[in-house]
Amino acid sequence: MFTELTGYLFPNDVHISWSLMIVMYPYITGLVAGAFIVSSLYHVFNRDELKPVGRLALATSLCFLPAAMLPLLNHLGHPENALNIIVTPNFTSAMAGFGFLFSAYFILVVLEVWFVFRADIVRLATESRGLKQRFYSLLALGVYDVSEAALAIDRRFIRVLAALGIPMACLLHGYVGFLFGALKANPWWSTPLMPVIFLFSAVVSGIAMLIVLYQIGCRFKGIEVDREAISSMARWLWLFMIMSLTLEILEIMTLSYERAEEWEVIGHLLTHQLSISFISVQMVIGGLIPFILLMLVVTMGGVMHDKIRNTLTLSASLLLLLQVLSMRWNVVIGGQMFSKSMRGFRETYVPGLYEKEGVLAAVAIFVFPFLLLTFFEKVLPTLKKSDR
Amino acid sequence: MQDKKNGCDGCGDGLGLTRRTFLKHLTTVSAVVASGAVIGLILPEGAAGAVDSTYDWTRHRWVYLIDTRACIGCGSCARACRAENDVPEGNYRTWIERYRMNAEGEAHVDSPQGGEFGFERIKAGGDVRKAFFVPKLCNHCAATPCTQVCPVGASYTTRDGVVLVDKEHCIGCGYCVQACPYGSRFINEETHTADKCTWCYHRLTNGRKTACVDICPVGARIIGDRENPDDPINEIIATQRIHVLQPELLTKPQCYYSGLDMEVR
Amino acid sequence: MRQDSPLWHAKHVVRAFLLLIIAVIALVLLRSLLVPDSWGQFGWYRGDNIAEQRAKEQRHGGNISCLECHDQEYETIAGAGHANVKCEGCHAPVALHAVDGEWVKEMPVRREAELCLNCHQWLDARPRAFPQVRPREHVEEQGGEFGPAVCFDCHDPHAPL
Ligand code: HEC
Ligand code: HEC
Ligand code: HEC
Ligand code: HEC
Repeated sequence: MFTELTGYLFPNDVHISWSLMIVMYPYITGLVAGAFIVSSLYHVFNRDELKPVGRLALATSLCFLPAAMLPLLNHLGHPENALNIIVTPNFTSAMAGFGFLFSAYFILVVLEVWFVFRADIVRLATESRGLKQRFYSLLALGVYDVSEAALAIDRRFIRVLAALGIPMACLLHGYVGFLFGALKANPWWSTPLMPVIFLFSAVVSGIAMLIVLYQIGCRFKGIEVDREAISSMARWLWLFMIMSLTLEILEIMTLSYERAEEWEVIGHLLTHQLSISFISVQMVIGGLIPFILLMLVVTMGGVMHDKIRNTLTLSASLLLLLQVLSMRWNVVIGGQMFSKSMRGFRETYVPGLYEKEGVLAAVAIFVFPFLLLTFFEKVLPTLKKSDR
Repeated sequence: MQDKKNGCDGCGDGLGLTRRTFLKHLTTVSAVVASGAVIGLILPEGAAGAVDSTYDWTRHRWVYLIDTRACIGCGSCARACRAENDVPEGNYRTWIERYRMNAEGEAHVDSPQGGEFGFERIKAGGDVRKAFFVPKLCNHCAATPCTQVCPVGASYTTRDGVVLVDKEHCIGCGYCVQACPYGSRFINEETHTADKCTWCYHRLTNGRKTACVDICPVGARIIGDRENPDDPINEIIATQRIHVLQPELLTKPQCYYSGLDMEVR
Repeated sequence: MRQDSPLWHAKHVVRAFLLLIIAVIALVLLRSLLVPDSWGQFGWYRGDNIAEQRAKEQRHGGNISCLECHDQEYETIAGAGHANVKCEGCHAPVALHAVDGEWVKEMPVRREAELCLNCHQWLDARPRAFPQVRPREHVEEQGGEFGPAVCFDCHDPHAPL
């Protein structure tokens, strides 16, 4: 691939070593964390209006979780050594915690999903026959007790797990931001704001993804989209996107106002290499427009026709999904568009279509959790008419 | 000719390895087999004959010194490094930068192919008032940000002060590449692992200098042992004005520069 | 267990956590199998790697490594203006040419002006005290005519002056 360089780059800095895969990784973990937080809003904070999406949120979190690992594995030079990260973790490394945090979170989400869906599992186990019956009974761990006492125990566990899950989700994703924020070698990454920015944008992407999944799911299943649920999600989305955007802008403002040494590089980066993906996509198309759309929904939602409200939130959600993706791109790729010599830039980076870490691989990885979710929906339906 | 003009004992011919010591290495090979290793290292079978079993890494601490005023930018070091260490093309364990400043102090910096094949006489633009070469390599920082971030403990600092990568254990995540502020690390396209300058650990611990130090025709590069009071490098560090790259990052580089300009980072 | 005990209805919880504990124990066991033998011998890394690093082949042998077979060139160089210039810098590492006193492969010989100009081409960044020439002017000054290997008409690479 032809690369255009200007100024002086350290000769090893000519390569982009963190590719599109490292853009996908925080994007997908963000969706996991964000979706989980929505489910916790229902389970812990008793936002009953979110009940129709509570199970979907959990299922989404669960299905995106394994997918979060795939881009990393595909990126590694030696995926067969990947286990080393839990075999010989080097705890001075921000990355070493990943294996443990990820596993712990995985266990937590699996447990919570199990408790939430246990009554359904048991019902399906008793209703079905043959292989199917075996499968569900295995899922139920052979215990068919759905008495009120047993369900009460389940609810208690769900509450505890959901509560534990909030700090865990924050940790999991704040930690992804920390991976970047803690590198003093890179002025575009090295800021304590990084974990916070990652966290808020994660919640934004998670809520946005749920809105999209919920509306599509309802259409497929012929269920009416719940007005309360959508309005509530739109409000939360609006709140989190404002915070997320504020932080993102604040970071740039501070850098620019301080006129620190780094600004020479970053200012150039924002106005040249990232002018489209940062200013146009992350700030305007993905920021300003959904802000206006959601503001309409939030302020005039009461008098709006359901169809209009749904369309507006759906469009805003899709745009915000794009916004968060572009934010990940701008951080990960942007941080590698300049050399650590602080004297040279790479003009563009276009990932190849068929490369090992190229666009096709990224698309495949992103499709995977949706397939998982479809499968999940087949095994354990998340959207039900009876929910409201 | 004035062959001692650089004022550096180590940069003459013998590499500190006279014929006698060379023979001594040969005779100690058999001793290796018999006595095992001094620091408890069991040598892999079929190891190259020159492994010095008497080397005790607790009694050495290596540091590097570059005299930017002596460097002629011939690129011999970069070529020797590539040949010695099988560095794939397009990656550099060491490279040479050329700085040229005009009267306004604006710097024009270049390093065509890492300076490996020397430098051409291309115009810098404007009137060059100050110009020099700066060889670069891994700084083997004492507070290194790269081994700090290695998630699996595949990169580490030896007791004699050298930062190494275990390519059998490395997972190739590239985090260390991002963490190095000097651009000294890269992902080796052949092994798919992180790679960097080792200060020719296989030479250094067996009685030789690094390939780049040995090959330099002008003694611009020297490597020495802080634990050895007779090593000339200690006198230079003690008495001359020296500098390190990007000291503000507090990585404590063990690669010192004399005659470094503020434009270099 | 009695039916009215609160634990009676927690059977599924017990099973789930039992499963979890088994999985964790299995992982811990697996981990201990996967840790390399020499891990932690000297620090949080694979101790064997030190020996592996030290045992890598040394390619450059210095001028002394040529002495055995090319004593003439060795002496010539040592006594002239290129005393500090290494054989392997103009030729190639000894390991690619002779191993254990045996010739293995031809040594490259670059009989071209480019070789000299790599070090002696006049450049603004070179230290002024270093002998350097503007090749065309230099050759013409000395009464020659510039060509790709002209330097060797007047200079012996091993004893240039
Ligand atoms: C084991 C003995 C041995 C050693 C050690 C050795 N050489 Fe040689 N070299 C030879 C032989 C044999 C030839 C072939 C002579 C011939 O072709 O006439 C040769 C040829 C050469 C040639 C000429 C090649 C040509 O095509 O004309 C060069 C240059 C050379 N050696 C350089 C070196 C240098 C530099 C070193 C030290 C780094 C070195 N040699 C070490 C044995 C050796
Ligand atoms: C400045 C660069 C340079 C250095 C240093 C150098 N050589 Fe050479 N060497 C040459 C060149 C150029 C030739 C080809 C000369 C010719 O063909 O006239 C050559 C030729 C030779 C030959 C072939 C003999 C011949 O006359 O054809 C041998 C053997 C040799 N060199 C060995 C050595 C050894 C041994 C050393 C170190 C002690 C050494 N060289 C150092 C550049 C160098
Ligand atoms: C690897 C770099 C290198 C190469 C290649 C090289 N030289 Fe040199 N040359 C030197 C060094 C170093 C000196 C010693 C400079 C000093 O004494 O300050 C030197 C000295 C000289 C001198 C002597 C100057 C004096 O004042 O005595 C001449 C003439 C010369 N070289 C010519 C050549 C020619 C001709 C070639 C090509 C065959 C050549 N050099 C290749 C590095 C090189
Ligand atoms: C026609 C003969 C001739 C040719 C061809 C020639 N030189 Fe020279 N060169 C000389 C003489 C004679 C001197 C000594 C002049 C002096 O001391 O002033 C010299 C001196 C040098 C010096 C030392 C200059 C100094 O400032 O000390 C270098 C370096 C040098 N030559 C390099 C080269 C290179 C490189 C080439 C090939 C491009 C080359 N020469 C071709 C005759 C020649």
